[in-house]
Amino acid sequence: MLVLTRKQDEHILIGKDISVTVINVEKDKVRIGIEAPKHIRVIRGELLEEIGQENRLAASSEYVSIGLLTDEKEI
Amino acid sequence: MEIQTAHFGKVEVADSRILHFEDGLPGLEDFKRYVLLSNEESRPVSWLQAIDEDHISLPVTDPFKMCPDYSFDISQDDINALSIKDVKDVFVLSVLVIPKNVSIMTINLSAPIIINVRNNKGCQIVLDKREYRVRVPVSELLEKSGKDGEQICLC
Repeated sequence: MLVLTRKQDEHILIGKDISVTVINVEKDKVRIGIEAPKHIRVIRGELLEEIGQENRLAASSEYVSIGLLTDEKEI
Repeated sequence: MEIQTAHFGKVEVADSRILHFEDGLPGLEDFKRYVLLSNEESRPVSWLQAIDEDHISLPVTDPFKMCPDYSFDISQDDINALSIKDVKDVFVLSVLVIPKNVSIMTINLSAPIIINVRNNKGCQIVLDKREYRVRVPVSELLEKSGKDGEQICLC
């Protein structure tokens, strides 16, 4: 992993189109500003992990306990 | 082909009904092929059943029915990946978590599944929007839209 030290208001460039700026630093929080082309999706890393956990949880969903659903084989 | 399913026993699935998720789903990356199963009783819930693993079956539903003002952008990358030509070809599903106590069922509005019905290619996209959370109680949405809860679940 590339590790860089930056001060407040300094930024780094990733390729030609992406700019990451340190907006401010406060105790254990860093505010980061990201400028990127619209087609680049920027999401918080832990969100993807959370979605993964949620999908695995969904896959263990109950079926029979829902009165609405039956185990009919005809689809 | 005939597949074993988690909730519908053995089911014959025509190739034309197989949905292809090139990257799988987050947390379930190994499974790339699914089929959508439902019957009169299951609706409005359908089950996204993995073709290659009978235990993997996720309950899904149409988010717009529960959350009429639900909206999001599809990135150009995703448009390209699914070869989307017309937004009308995009079918949207949200994943539900149905616990033993069905009254606390939740819907994931943060990560809609989008499917291009023209080529059956799909993916789950992640929206980093504060208003669309991962675990939204279905009961909360039904109250908000003023619908009768019994339409979605009998609890």
